[in-house]
Amino acid sequence: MSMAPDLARIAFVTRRFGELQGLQSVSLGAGLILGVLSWSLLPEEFRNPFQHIVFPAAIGMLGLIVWIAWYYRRSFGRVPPMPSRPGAGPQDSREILHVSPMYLGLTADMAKGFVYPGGPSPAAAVLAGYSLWILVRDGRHRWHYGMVATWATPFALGIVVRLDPAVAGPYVLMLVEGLLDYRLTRTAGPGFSKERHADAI
Amino acid sequence: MPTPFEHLAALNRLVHEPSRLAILTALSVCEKADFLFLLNITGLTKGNLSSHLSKLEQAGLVAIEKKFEGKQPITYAMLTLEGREALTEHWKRLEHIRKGARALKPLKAT
Repeated sequence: MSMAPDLARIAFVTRRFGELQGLQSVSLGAGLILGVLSWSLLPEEFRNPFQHIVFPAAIGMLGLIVWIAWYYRRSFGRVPPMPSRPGAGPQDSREILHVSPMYLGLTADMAKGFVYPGGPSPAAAVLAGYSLWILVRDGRHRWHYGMVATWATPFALGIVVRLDPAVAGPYVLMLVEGLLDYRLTRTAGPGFSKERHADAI
Repeated sequence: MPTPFEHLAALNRLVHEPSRLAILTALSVCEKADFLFLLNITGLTKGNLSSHLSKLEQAGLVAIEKKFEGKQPITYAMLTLEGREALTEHWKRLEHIRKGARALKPLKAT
């Protein structure tokens, strides 16, 4: 070790390793953006954002997210999180659960869209709320969640409601959030910047 | 009450070494971590990490668990109760040294 280790950063990344797997948010955000772009190319009468954006992207990305969790285990290593209470088993599934609030928001968006298209977006509200919570909890290291919470709020309140590529706003924010989390993990320890795989050990 | 210098002299050198302190810090905030993660987070070479883990294991501060997940062998390291106490004690001593050092006034040059 050539430099003094940043112990606070090491402790933070180790504690939140399951949540910092930002490529999952990146893949979900990218899938949703692609959905919005392809939807905007459809003729007006066939445009249903929920059939053409949310559902295919969410289903497609769920498989990818599981694969990404495997990629993280293989390339970055394994850190089973602390049990929630003494005697409880480790919550291995938490590695992919941090994106589940977003899935709930997207499902709510989809359900709401059938009866009341447009208006406030539950997905953006979930994103804003989740980002705010992360900001309060881990603001020192994950300050970018403040930026995301601020940008997601107009979508959550329905200030931005047009059914055009503007609906991709929250998804772009998800992608940015994921990329910055990925960068945080990548720069946490000197070894993360090198390509190392479990096979090599 | 011990002076800052006595605290300094009493520091556990096994824990105080930067690489081992990084390993122990990482292990103190999780149930366990595998060899690959520790390799990445500390930036040590495989040989160095292995050597530091062996020393920590011999001192009873860390426990090593080898298991298979599918066909893949995984080596997990976890902090023992003794290791957790040693790390807590180390941080306390460092805090005493820091407080003591603040109270020191440098001698004026004559």
